[in-house]
Amino acid sequence: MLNKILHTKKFKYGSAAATLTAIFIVIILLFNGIISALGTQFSLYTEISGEKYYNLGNTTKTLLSETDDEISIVFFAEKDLLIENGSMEMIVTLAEKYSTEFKNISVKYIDLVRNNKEARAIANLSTDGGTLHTTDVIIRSEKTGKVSKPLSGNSFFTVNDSNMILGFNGERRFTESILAVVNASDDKVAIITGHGETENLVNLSELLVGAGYDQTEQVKVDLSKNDIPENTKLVIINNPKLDFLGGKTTSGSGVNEIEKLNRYLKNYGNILVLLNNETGTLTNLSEFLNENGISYTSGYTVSDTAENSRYGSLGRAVHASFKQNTNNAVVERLSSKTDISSAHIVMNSTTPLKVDNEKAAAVLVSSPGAKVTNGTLPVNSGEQVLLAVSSKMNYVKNEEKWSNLFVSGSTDLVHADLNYSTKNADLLRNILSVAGTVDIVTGIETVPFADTNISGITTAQAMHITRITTLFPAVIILCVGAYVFIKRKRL
Amino acid sequence: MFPVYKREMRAYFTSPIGYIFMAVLLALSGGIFSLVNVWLFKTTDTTFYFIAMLCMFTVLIPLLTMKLFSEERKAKTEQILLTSPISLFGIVFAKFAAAFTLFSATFIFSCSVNFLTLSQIAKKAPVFSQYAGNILGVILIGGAFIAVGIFMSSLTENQLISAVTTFCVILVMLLLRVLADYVGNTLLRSVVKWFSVLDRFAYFTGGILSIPAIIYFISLSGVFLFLTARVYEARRWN
Repeated sequence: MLNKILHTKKFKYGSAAATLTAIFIVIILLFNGIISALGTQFSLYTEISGEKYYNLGNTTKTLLSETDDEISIVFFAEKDLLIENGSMEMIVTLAEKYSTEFKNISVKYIDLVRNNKEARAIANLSTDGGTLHTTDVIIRSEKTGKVSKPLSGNSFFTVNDSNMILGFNGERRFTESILAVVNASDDKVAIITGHGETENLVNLSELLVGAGYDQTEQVKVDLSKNDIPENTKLVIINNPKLDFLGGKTTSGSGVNEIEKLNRYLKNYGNILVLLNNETGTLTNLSEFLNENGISYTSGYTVSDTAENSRYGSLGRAVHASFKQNTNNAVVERLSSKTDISSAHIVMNSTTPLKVDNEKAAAVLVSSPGAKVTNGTLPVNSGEQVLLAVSSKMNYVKNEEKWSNLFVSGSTDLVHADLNYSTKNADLLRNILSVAGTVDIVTGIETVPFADTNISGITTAQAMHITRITTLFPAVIILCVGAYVFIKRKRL
Repeated sequence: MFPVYKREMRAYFTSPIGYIFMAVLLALSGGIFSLVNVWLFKTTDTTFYFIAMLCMFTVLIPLLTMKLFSEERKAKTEQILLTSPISLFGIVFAKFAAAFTLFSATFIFSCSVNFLTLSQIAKKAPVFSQYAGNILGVILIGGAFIAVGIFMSSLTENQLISAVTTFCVILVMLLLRVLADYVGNTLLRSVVKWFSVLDRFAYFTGGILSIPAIIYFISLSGVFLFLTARVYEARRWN
């Protein structure tokens, strides 16, 4: 009956036909609209790249399935504008994969330009403090209101020494940041001040935020006035230029900073001391380090011309590798957690360390071809210790309690220029992990970008390829066509 | 429907147009591939190649489709179509299928030659699944453009007008992405980008097989074929 009606003249030609046509087009549009809207929800997008950039591994699924916190991944521009940039498109696509995979994770887009106040409020930034960019991403816990530091788009990619993008580490970045927001604790990191420790502080702070310590959990401590706060998991002494107060001061005030450090270590604390080849002779600090089996000589510099990298403006660079067969649990743990197969740990302007093997162990060493100089005068050569650790372990109520004193001969573990092109930042995070502070995510690797370069093609070969792909098929087809055409003419 | 399809296919191979189209498509495809991947960028990444081919379709597709219905109308042989026992949609679809077969077979052959070339000259051959995905996307977009060309051809008896209008419509469809950047209103911009062919093709070049995009391209073909059938229905009853 319906068929009969539809085949009448009225529905084939005329206003009714035009209406039916319009209805048909609207139905098609609606159908496509529904499919587009449901696309993400029902996994209508399948990755067909060889590298599987958007694949969430078992580690991520296991770690994030344990949390029921409502998490928002927030971008600060409209989605259609973000995905015009290839890099941001990858980050957005991965974020939406998280949203598809985990019901408690959602993705939001807020226009930073039009809704600046709202965007800054969501990022827990005041209207006049802290920068936020349209290519930043934050992770926010809707349950606790905790917010990650703004993650820049660049931080989702790894680069090599030449600043060439090597791979995409979006999964690791997102998973770590989500865990950091969900597992945020009251633990603190104390950054010692009062001895000229002024360099790389901004970058150090950013690295700590990336490791899960927001600004309120990083405490600047002047030991001449204050004690190390409770719940401090790691004390960082970054490039001191003045000595620490030990015993009675010349003013007779009796403040003993070294004693505070000793007491902190005895209470199972962790200290990281960063020195370099410009660190002066700091008597009290040196004595403190010596008592723990580690020493340095002011003015000595390590160089290694065989393995120099091109960080010219930062001075002579040394590639560091982990000391093997130390039988030291801390060294073994750091070595297994820090993968230096794809990028190096690079240290510049490094002073060599001496280690008393009964009290301390070498963590990072130079190559055997390294040389030590004092100004221009050669001192010695051979493998040099670049990072050392002195660890003590005791059982307290049947629980292992560790204290660790790390001494680095270079301040480049916290240098901004080396964040993404080396493993320096990874090493710092792993030191924080050893200090028992951070759930370091392991088992999530950077997905490398495929090498698509074609090299070694000569001009003659390129011409040959052009002929094969351009001329031959076309000429053959034209010849066949000519043959058929002529044959038909004759017929 | 199949006899019409066979007739159209035979017409392509018994007249110069089919051979000329295939030769031009093969030459252009090979030339662009050589220029982009071998001479200029020296890369196995074929994103630029596929996008360049989509731009070439603004010129190629009208050449293929301009005569499909215009010629029938000019030669006054459309009466045979209008009085045929085969449904009008069947006839339209048969012509579309013949043009689509010629286009897609030629393009797939060219891409196969390019893929084999890349496999030989590069350290690492391109990922086949992603390459095939891109080919699928381009073929579906080509199919949609052919449907547009058929519709334009059905509106006029002048082949030149048919070709020019097809060119203009395809150009607008490709430029929607660029035009969207000039739209200030967020909602309107989203709508314009939703219709954009290149925005949807971007999934394929990014290594993602997008079912919504595939459905969109097929729907686009379907809509224009439907409109072509409606034009002839109206003409039949007029």
